[in-house]
Amino acid sequence: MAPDPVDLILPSSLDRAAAVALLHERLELVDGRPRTSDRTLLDSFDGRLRAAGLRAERPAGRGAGLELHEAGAPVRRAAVRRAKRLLITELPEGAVRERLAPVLEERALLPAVRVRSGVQPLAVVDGDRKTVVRLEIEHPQLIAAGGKAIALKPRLEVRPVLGYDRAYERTLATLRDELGFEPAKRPLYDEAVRKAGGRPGGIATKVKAELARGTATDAAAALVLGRLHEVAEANLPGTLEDLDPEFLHDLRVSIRRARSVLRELKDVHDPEARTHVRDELKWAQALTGPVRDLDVQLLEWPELAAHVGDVRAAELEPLRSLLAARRERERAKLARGLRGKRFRATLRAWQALAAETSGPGKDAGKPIEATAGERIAKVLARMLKDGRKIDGESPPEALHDLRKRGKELRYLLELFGAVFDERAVDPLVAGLKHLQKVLGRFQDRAVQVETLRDMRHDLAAQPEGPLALIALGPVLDALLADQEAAREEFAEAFEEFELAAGDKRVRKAFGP
Amino acid sequence: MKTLATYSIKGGVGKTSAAVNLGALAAADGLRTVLWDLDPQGAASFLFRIKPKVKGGGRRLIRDRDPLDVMKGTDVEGLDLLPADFSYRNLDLELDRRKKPLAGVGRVLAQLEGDYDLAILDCPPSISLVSESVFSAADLLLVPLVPSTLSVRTLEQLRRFLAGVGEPVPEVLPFFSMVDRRKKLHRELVASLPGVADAAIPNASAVELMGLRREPVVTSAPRHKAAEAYAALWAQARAVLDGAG
Repeated sequence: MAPDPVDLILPSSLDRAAAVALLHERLELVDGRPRTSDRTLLDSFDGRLRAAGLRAERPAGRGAGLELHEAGAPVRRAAVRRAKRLLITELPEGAVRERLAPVLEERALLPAVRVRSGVQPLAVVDGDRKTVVRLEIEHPQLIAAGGKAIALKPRLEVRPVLGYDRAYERTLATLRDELGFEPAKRPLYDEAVRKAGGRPGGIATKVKAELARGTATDAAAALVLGRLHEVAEANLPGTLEDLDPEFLHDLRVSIRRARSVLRELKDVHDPEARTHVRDELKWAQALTGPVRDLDVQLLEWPELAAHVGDVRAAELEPLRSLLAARRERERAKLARGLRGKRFRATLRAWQALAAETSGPGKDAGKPIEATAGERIAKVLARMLKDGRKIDGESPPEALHDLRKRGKELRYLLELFGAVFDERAVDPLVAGLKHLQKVLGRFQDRAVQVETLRDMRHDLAAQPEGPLALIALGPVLDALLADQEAAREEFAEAFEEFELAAGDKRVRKAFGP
Repeated sequence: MKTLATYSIKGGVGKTSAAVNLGALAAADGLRTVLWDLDPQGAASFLFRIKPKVKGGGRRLIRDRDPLDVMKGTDVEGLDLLPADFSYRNLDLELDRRKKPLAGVGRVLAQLEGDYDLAILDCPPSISLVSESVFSAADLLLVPLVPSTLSVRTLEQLRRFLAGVGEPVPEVLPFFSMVDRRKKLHRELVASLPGVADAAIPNASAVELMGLRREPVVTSAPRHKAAEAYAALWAQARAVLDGAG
């Protein structure tokens, strides 16, 4: 395929006319029609489009539509309504949606920054007047909040044309070597977002605390708790604005992980402060639970409806409406809770605990690999013991409990794995992931069936509700069948995990 | 990747004009589009100012050459061309040498899967092994009809032929081309023939001038009635393609 396009920086002194004149002196060019491009650039909160090499733009002001830019592909366009956020399900079927779906998943496209540019397209042509390289002179301005225009560096984009690599190299050589244009250090999106005070890569929601072996447990706990607190704070506004379901999900994950750190490292902090934060985080976890459960139901709705034919799926609509209405009620409660004094106080207490770099507990001064290693070894041994006892007759609770242990182990490995041999951690995490997936499916199906059954009276009272109840029957059957299938897959998944746990490196790192 | 072919047994009826204009419209819609100029005369290649030359000729292309190595970007961003080559006149013979002659065109296109969303095949005017191989690879055949009783007969021949070949058979969307509304016969035929696309391409000098300007009319004069007719034809073709699995 053609090489990647290159962005060069033009001297600020060159306005459009001067740049065009200069380029004409060196290259055989055909001028395109100049235009003004005033657009809002968008990305997800965690910068997924940028990471995937994509750029989404929407005309600023009252204009509608969405453009998706990607090197080596034509601009994809979609007709979209104007909104403060766009979920993949809100995009019309077509090229944009198809390309964005695996990138965005549940995340919303959010406006990041507004840029207004004067653009002059040019074509470098050969002796037959055939375009062999495309150029675009751009004089961009960041339009800051309040409408203030801030000049960004003028750029010259150089785009190859398939099959004309030599012309592309010649053109680049002329521009770089003869005219002295330097390659841009960062794309326009990054420059604009930084200028506006944002983070071009978005806000990372995965905690990657850089821990070194020998770090004292109290310092390691402070680092991890602090990072988790940052993630929780970063996801709070998006949760309150209800921009996409991932904000709440990531908020909950950071809370759950912080609880896990406090549970595992019990002899580090002041016991009273630790107990208080643990209790409050437990409360916060419960506060955020109902909306998340309903989010999962609604996100999985297409799969749920797929269990029945199109006609019956339409008959299920009252159930979906009921779920959506219930979510709206729960969301209002959640928003009140998250804006309330107790939640703010919880965050402050969490932050205060994270700021304690020297704890009074007996494990505080031990190296983290000793304390975390001991916990990992214990949880792993317990998991193996409990898992081996599970057979076809075991009650569902046994599988649920094993899943909880699995989560505990996963968090320990994720948060503190960096201080252990990665050849021991990685295969263990891989084996655990699969096992957790199977156990997760087993439990999720049970929760789904219970939630849907609980709604039967409300559903029956809806117009067309009885019809929806009839259509719900096969859905429940399918969910229960899937739960049973997950149970049958358990033995194999556990065996795989056992095998990973039996590896000599794992035994050396976390063995008894 | 979906595949559309502009095909007719007759020559000079507007196949290439339709192929290049629909290619430009597809690219403007954001589809990564490749146009394969299968006609050894190389009219589409000429129109895009690209030499009708494929290193190793049709024989290597059908055998083992990666088509991406010989493709060229056109002046329309998002539309690439697999150029014509004079050796394509012998493509029938080359296909005939293969174990599965009808799979030849599809095998070349299969290598572009993932890199493109749409392939447009501009076919030579004939009914031959090449056309049969195209029928087997295409999701949709766009068949230009000059409004004459003879054209209608040719369409019937094509339909009969397709009915006789094995599955899968492409959808067929005939459309009127070179329509002169001043002629009564043209008006009557356009109005009376069922199963033909709503869009009729007018007999306009803007279409003829494409050879001189070497640019599709949909980009050089997007508001011209011919450009609008191509846009309507593309909309209908796209709807058929989107419906095709």
